[in-house]
Amino acid sequence: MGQVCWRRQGEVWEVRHLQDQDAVGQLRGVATLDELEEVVRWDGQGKYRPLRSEGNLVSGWQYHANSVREFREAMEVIYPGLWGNAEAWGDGRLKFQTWDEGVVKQTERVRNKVVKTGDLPRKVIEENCKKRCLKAILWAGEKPVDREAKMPMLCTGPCGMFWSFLEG
Amino acid sequence: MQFKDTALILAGHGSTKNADSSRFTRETAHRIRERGIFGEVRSAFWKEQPSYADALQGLKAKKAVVVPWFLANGYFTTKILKREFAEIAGVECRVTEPIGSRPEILGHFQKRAERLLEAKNWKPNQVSLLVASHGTPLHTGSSGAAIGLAEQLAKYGYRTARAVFLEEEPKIADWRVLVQEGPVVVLPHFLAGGLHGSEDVPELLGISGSREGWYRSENVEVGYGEPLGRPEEVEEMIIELAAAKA
Repeated sequence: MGQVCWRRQGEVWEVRHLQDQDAVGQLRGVATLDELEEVVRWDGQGKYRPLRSEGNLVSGWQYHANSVREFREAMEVIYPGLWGNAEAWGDGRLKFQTWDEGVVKQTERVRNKVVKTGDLPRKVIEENCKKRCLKAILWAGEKPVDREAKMPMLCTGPCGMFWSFLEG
Repeated sequence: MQFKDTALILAGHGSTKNADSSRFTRETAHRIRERGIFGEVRSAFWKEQPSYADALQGLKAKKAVVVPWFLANGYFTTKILKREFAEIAGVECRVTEPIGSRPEILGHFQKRAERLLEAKNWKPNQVSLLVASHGTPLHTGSSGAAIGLAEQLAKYGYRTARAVFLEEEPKIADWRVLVQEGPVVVLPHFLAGGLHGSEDVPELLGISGSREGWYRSENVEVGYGEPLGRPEEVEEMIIELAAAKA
């Protein structure tokens, strides 16, 4: 899923960065979910990483989950909400917002900006979402690729980062 | 006390700019999950991932109790959260009062003021106290919580105790006019610091840091309290709020 891979060995699920798929004995062990939170909170330059589905997850770590439940919680830390979305997509029950539903929830200031700037949302999708985020933008008409092979990362509505970028 | 058929969601605001805004919310969710009281425990945010909708879509439970990670029953809790958790994906949601509604909050704020006074060996009547909050013209509940808290704190005998705001009158920016003489203790009425508690308020006060302690702003000594929200402080309050609605 995204930049993460996992391997099950008995009852242990070993989670690591895709880039470290074949690494042996060189990875830093991450023992708790709080430690894992710290791994995913920062990018390689030590900057805050508000968009956890951005393609800049740091490598060099591994987390051992001792049950399916722990594995699921680890994935929730790395890609919050996305495992559930992928399952719902697989079951055909995933719901996502339309653009109009997303806009109406915003403040008057944001709505006015959207009206005045015309094609700004499209630009934000091109300049922000598509360049940074690994999710397929369902609400903008994208379809997840390679659906059978992995857990797809799915965007179900304009997120905080989208609106922040739009507001400038 | 167990609610295995119910999910607990800690609903916070989050931030696209400040790394600490959601940290305690997420850590508190992990702590409460470990206790095995609720079937599932999730944190969810307006500005960060997961969104409220995404958090709900991933639940196995069909019932969820949503505890607002907010201090006031203001615009966000009464309007946004009520709307967002009305019903999504067949999950029945009950939104509780915000964390700030709990009676323990007063004690936590007073403790911060006491720590600051002890560091200087001062009594309450030697300092002014300001509760620095957000406030919004959109809803009176936001400022009301801070005003109520300041009124309660005033009973401890401070020279003066009042609430000041980012977006309402009286403004934090006007604190020098409101506090005619120092020293002053400022308690940030924000959960977990975040952008406002760790950057905006200290800047408006003219102090050089946001850690709990004493600073000098021109010729006035300013004691700045630690924002509320450490997991060990809020964990029990959240469970109480959730259990009452579960």
